[in-house]
Amino acid sequence: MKSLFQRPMLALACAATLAACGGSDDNVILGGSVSGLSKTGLVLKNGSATLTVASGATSFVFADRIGADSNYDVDIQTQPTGAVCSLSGDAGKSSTASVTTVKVTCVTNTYSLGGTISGLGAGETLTLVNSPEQLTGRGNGAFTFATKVADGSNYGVSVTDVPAGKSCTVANYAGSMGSTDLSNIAVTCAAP
Amino acid sequence: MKLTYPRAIAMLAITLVLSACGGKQSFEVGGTISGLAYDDLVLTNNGDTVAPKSGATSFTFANRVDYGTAYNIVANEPAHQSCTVTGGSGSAGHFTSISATVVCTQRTHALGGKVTGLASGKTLILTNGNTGGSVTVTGTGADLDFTFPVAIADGALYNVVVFPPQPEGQTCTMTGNAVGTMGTAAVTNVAVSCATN
Repeated sequence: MKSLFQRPMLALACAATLAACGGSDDNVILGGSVSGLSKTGLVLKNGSATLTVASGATSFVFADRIGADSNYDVDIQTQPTGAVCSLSGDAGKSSTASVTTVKVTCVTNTYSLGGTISGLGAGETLTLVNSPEQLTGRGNGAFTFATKVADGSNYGVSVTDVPAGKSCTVANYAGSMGSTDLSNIAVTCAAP
Repeated sequence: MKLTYPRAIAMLAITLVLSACGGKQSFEVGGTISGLAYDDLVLTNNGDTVAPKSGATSFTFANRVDYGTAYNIVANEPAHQSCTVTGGSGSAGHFTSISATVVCTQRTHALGGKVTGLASGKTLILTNGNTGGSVTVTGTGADLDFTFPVAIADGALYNVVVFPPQPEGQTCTMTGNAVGTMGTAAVTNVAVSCATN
């Protein structure tokens, strides 16, 4: 009889202890690293928890903690404006330790830059520079730089190697890249 | 006598074997290289030299070093690059082989110059091409030096332009050295001149 009584009591004590430990006291941090984010608007989510990640952030932590031994699955709720982010290590099951292994990698959108040259004589050429790239030996007609410009980045184009006896003006030579390809640089050369 | 003769032979044999193994073990001194883009890197180790060429991915010194001998690989850097050596010094035999790592990266230098004529309180923004960033200069009435926040790699192009809009009531133009190629020292001679409209 004694042993039959003790066992249920022991089991009850154990159950009570476990419930006290566990319960709904979520205390595991969920976060990770961020790279390449230079735009605003990124929102991450894990279940019903959301987190807005600021431009320039290198790490993130959800304000809502998760439970030990619980599944997490981080997703991108909203992509930043002008960039695309991707996730790795975004799903798993927590232990009792902080989760800091979710990686967010962002790449800012880039757009092409170009324009037209006019007013050069037959065989005449000039050089367009949008460092670190240059287009040498360009005559009349359209041009496009091979190196794209990041959304929101400033660019500035210089014209050099102008043929003797010509002077060139450049409209729209500099600006801040928007979210479409640009081909509005107009190099107009004439004999002064 | 019967017993001592084989013993003597055995001792002699052991001695011979030991001396063959022993002497001193020697080690090849070398390693890997990454990023080398010029031919003027010279690595030295206690007077021994080796000159890996552009694009080399490994190097080996002609002289091996004996067990217990100190080795110390030093990079005499190329003009345009900075090369760092890791695992390049120690005592031969401390590790099973000597393999240093040499990593070369292009040196970078500041880009800057002088603005003249910018009126007090007026703002001028200068931009360096696509990836060189921008710098904002606020007029004080005196000549102003400026430096771009982004340093430029040795050998890379730069082109400085006045970023629109022009300072209020003024027109600034690039008047010297706006376009060039970064050399082995900082550029401080980009000239911008502002005039009141």
